[in-house]
Amino acid sequence: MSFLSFHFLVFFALTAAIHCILPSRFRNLFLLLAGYFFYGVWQPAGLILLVVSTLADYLLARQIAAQAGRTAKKRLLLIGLALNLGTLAFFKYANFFSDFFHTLCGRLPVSFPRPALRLILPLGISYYLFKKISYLIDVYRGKLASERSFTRLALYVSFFPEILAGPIDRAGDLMTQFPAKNGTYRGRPAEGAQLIVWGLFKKLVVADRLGLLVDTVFSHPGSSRGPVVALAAFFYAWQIYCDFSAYTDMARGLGRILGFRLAENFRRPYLAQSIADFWRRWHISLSQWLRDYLFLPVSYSLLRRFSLRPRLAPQADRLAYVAGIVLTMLLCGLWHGAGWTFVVWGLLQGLFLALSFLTKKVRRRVVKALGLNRRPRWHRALRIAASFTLVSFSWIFFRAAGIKEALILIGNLFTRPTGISVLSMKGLFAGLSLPNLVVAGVAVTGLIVAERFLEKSSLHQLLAAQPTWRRWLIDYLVIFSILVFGIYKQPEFIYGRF
Amino acid sequence: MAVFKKIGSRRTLSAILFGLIFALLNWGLGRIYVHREMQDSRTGFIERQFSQCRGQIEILAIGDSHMATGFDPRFFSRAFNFALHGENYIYNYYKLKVILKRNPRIRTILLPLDLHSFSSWRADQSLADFYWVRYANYLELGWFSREPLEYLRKYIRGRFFPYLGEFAALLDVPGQDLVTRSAPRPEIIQGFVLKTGAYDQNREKKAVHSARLHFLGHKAYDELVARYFRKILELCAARGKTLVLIKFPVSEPYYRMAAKRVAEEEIYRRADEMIRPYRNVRVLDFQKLFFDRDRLLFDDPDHLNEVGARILTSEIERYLSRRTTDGREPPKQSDYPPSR
Repeated sequence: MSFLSFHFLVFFALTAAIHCILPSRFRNLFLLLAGYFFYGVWQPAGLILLVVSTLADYLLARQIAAQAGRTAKKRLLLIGLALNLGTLAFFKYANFFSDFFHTLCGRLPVSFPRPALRLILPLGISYYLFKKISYLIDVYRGKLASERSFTRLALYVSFFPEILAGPIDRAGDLMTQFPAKNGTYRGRPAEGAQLIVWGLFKKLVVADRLGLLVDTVFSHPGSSRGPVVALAAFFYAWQIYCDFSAYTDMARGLGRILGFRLAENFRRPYLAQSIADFWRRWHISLSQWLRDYLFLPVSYSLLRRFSLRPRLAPQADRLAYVAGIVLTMLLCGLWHGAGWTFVVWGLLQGLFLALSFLTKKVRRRVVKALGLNRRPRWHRALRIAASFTLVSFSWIFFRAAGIKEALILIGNLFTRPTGISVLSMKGLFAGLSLPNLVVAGVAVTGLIVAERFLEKSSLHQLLAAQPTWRRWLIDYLVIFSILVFGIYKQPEFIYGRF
Repeated sequence: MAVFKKIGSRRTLSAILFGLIFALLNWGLGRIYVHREMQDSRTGFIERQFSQCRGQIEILAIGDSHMATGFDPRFFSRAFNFALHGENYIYNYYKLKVILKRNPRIRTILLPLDLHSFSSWRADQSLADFYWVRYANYLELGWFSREPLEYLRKYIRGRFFPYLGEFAALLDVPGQDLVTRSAPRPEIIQGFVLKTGAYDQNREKKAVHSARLHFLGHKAYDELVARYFRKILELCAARGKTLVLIKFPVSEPYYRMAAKRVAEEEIYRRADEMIRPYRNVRVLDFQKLFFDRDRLLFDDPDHLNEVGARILTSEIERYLSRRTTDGREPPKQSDYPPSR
């Protein structure tokens, strides 16, 4: 039951209507049951895991909060982490690592049997396990009181607008919004509908249309050359952004209709002026999770260790940052999927961030020497272009079917196109006819313009500030663009796979 | 309180106005799209031809592409071939129901009974919902198929948003692969689609492709399709119409490929069981009639070309005229064709 299906439309309309008229004391339970129904329709077996693991975390958090001693709390936290990470490792990476060891042992005189059982990845597991881990750590750190009601915790974990692909809301942010016993309905249907429509525009008009060319090039890596590969990489950058941010916008819109404010996951990432800035704008809920629960603890721990060693002490902060960021981004890559392409993508991101950190002074000198500091607009544009290019380059690994295919594409990136492909539109824009290309170009341009406006205020505020006739004009334009130019072929969201 | 009421009523009014403008624009776009599609497509062309003959037809051929390309209505004075590509018994039934109501003079109905006739391969894969919504009762279909939401979606799309995602057709963008316009329109006479090719190259490959199209990933015997076959039988019996079921000729390679994927005897045994109680139904078996001449008489593995259609129609004509002129009891399935 995808967000884009008619079934979901019916499901959500019924859920929202019942939620709205239900007495507030029943709303949490109702939303929980709706969430379980939504998940169960997708994957009945996965529902069992979801319920059981939530119950385990509920009990562990209660125990952590009840313990007086730090050691006992830590022990319980470690059990919780082991359970959650173990579940993730088992379902998400067991196949990957068993295949890896099987291949490795095939080259050595050792045998490593490939398991007969191929595990099916439970939907949204990466998202809801991260939510549960953050909850356990926050309870352990004393930032959050352990939840007394299982229903509320279970609702936080399985809240259906965000269970499949985030955002990874913190318990402290989301659970405080759950209806109190005597609360009133606080939904904002108009605001929610605007977000949903905007999400639909990004997904159906932009992302899926760009996907036509991207899919053609990436499924036949050997047959595309030079500008086509570059175009496909840039298109993929926009495709994945529009696809994922569309999902988030729709999730946030659904949340607004039900009366919840979900975390913002994207803040115009391709206007970032550095890779670090990109990660402050891209998949914000994940990058903040990684920062708070992985990067900072690891970096501080390394800093303490390095500071104690006389030879490393002078460079301790730099070393701790570089080691911490590379490890974090490597795990971030692996979080996205069990594949070497994601590992390389994560390593590349880590490398970009580390290099950006280490070369700060040198770059500042170069900027000064070139006189770019006197032309801030040019400097800004250059930084945006450089960041976008680096990010788009790394997306090649993210999208490619394997390392080999990614390397073929990168190799072809620097080849000249053949005469035929330059002359023929079909060859130049493989998979994307001229009308499709025009629609894609206009849609992306429209999106960039809209993003510029959205930098200063939210979509709802921006529209509310317009006179009625202009607001309606914008509404009709966006709605009919979706209806006329959308691609309706049962599309799935890219991040739904992770 | 009065202020709140005023704001509330203003909001309601503006929401209604917004909705009305939307509905108007939506209706306009829908009309433009349907008009363009029906104007330019093969389906629209056949529909127009059919409406010109309204009330005069006595022999109606209905079915899928086998019928569309295999039955030449020019052999008869008041016949029309209203078969469309990919149309199965489900849609045959609904279409027939509407046509019989508007054309009471129809006395004989020709319908294919082929190896793939009960396959779950659906017509709506190749024809748009806006077309079928004129004939089919999607709510009933949803109920029978146990997919009410899916057919409700189809109904809403067909009735209210026919232009969904069809920017190329709507804006008349050239060079687009449109479902109903893609193929160059062959000559169409009284609904009969004339094909002039020969099936003499890449025979095995084409046969595999056609057999896959009909059977791969589809149930060879779909209960829902069978249910609608029974409804056709009931409908014809209730209206006193003669139903002639035709096992269309196929090429030898196609037959071989199809036979690998479907239990022929089982399919026809089930069909016979359904037909048996009806005295107004006859079955003509031409399935293997052209095995020895399939290079010449076929356009592709399972579609006759013009010559093949002419020979086949003359056989059908011989059967029908004998039945109607001498008043004898029509021959049973095993007696026919009488001569090869």
